[in-house]
Amino acid sequence: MEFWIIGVVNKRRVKYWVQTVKNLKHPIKIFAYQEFIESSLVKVDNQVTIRIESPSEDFETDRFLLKQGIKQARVSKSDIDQLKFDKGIIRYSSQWYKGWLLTLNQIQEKVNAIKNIKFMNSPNAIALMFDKLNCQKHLSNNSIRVPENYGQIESYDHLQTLVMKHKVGRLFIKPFYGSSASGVMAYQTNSSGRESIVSSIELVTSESSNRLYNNLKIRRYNNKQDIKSIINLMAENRIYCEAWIPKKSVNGMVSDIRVLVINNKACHFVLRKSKSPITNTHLGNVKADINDAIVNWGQNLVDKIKNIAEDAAKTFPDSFYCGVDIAVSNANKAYILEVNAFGDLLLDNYHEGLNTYEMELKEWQNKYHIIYNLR
Amino acid sequence: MIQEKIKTYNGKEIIRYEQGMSIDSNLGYIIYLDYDEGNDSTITNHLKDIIDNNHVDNLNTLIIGCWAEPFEDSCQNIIDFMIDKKDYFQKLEAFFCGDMESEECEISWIIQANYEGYLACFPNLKHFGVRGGTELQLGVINHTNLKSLVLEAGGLSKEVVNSVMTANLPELETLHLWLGTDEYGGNSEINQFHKLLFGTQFPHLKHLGLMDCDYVDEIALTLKDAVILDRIETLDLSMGTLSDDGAQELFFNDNLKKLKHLNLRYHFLSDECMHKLKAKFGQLVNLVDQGEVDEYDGEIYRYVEVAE
Repeated sequence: MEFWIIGVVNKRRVKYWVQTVKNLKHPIKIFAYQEFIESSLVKVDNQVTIRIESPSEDFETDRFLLKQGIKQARVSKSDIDQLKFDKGIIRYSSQWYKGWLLTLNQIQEKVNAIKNIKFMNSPNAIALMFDKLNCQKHLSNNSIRVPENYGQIESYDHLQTLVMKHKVGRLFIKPFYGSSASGVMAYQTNSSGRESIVSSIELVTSESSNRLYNNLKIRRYNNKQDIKSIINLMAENRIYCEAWIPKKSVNGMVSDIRVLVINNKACHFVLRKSKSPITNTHLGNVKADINDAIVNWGQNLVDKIKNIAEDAAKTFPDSFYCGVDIAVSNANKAYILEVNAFGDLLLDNYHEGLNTYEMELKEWQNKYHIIYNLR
Repeated sequence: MIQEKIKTYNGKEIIRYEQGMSIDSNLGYIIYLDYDEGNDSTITNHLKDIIDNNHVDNLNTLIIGCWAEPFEDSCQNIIDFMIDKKDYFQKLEAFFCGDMESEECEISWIIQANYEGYLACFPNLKHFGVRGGTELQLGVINHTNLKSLVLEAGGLSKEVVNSVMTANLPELETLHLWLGTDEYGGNSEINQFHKLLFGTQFPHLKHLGLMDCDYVDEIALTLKDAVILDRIETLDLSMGTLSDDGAQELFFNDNLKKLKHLNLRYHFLSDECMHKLKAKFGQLVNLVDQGEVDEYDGEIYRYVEVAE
């Protein structure tokens, strides 16, 4: 068996997988997205496994995907060439997603005619997981418990209409596309008109324009004008809202859980603890392992969480691994918050002695009966 | 942010009351609703059950947690229910209303109630506490047995502080006020505390907490020559925006040495200043949780520990 990986060449996600595959002495080829799409591939000699990696963390890849999404243009080709790297800025994410979708389709088309190629996670599965609103609908249609979804928000005024219509005062607002906490907002309001947003979004106002950045710091906005600006700017790139599930605490911190499901089995487990409603780990929050959860919540609840993660993963039959984010309420009900196609970048986390990539490879080999010799 | 529920109160371990449960007088109970519990369940229904099942005589320690939508609806109906059924709750020794975690409802969003007349209905009450300052009113307070009064808020109003400062509570031993910040309705003023600090109010007071306060430096200054330091054991100025200015005042205040404990946890002191206080007060001062100031456009910001 031969492995190919399509991703951001030279970035850590690609490197981790390449190293894991090389450790087992399998041949591996590395492609950039554009390179793969433009390659003159017609047939392969051996069985080939393709892993598509996350396009995140790379400005040149962003540029490429924005150009791919040009038909949905918010920004033109020459303007894209003129774009300057601006760390953390939130812009053009729906055009970016269209470009990513087209790229995934092109990858699929490229291999359609060729036998002997398998995707670990298919382009379709990745596309669905990336589209958070549709992904939540898909889970709900498959009887997986998700927070009540109130749909797309067109604007700040539209948000007010939704709040009135559904009589709901606490919401999580999320971008359709995006990963981890990027652009996620915990929004509160009540009928006296008070409002607040807690988010990693930083609003930068100037005379000419307002801009939004993703920031490592969690900020709170209480001012209506700021909140209006943020929602309206975010809505340009499509956002939706869902019920805020009050999350069960662990050791006096808010927590949620990432379960990496591989081959339909719940494997790696991360308990993420935070002092704010935004629990994603890259924002300086505390990571704890499964034992912390077992000690605090008991084995039964942890098993229940694993089960719902596996149930969620099973609704994506052509995805071999995915990261499932789960919130547990005080009544011990588990809700799926998100499913991440690239949710396996969990460092220093081991299941049965294997890191996430080693476990994926082992399970993949088991599934396809490759002789292996791991560790 | 508050992210854990009260574990013990009135010396009793707190467990959650669930429908039909019998009440053990050796335990305390919290009644709260879950987000996903369904709409037909209410706190007052639970209280009614306890009465109907003849368990209320064993109920001495009661905590009210999250009601259906504390950010939208006041808990006035719960307070009024208890006043209405006061004859049933005569064994009550400890009552706290609003024990919820920030995920359920943040402290400044909790819509509280008017407690005018509440305390008078329960003469055996020894401990009374409230979380949340929004719409909180206490009115005239007159109670001959109350030993502890705890008001936790992101901002306590001038009126509420006035109710406390004019209260007749001859047995009061513990007074904790989270004064909070003006952004969340805290508009109390230093001069409201003069009578307490320089007079004889609350003759049995042992533990005074003026906490979570954004003018704690002023309190530190005012404490100079305050006679209350002769009769209390604990002074708690934790959770506030204490800076080196306030700490300097505390450093020169020799009366503080008479205390058994000076709690300054969560502060914005320099290392040097902490060192000086430690050298002077030794074991009696708590200086953990040194905060970092926020700087923005050349301005320095210090935030109280619990506000939102």
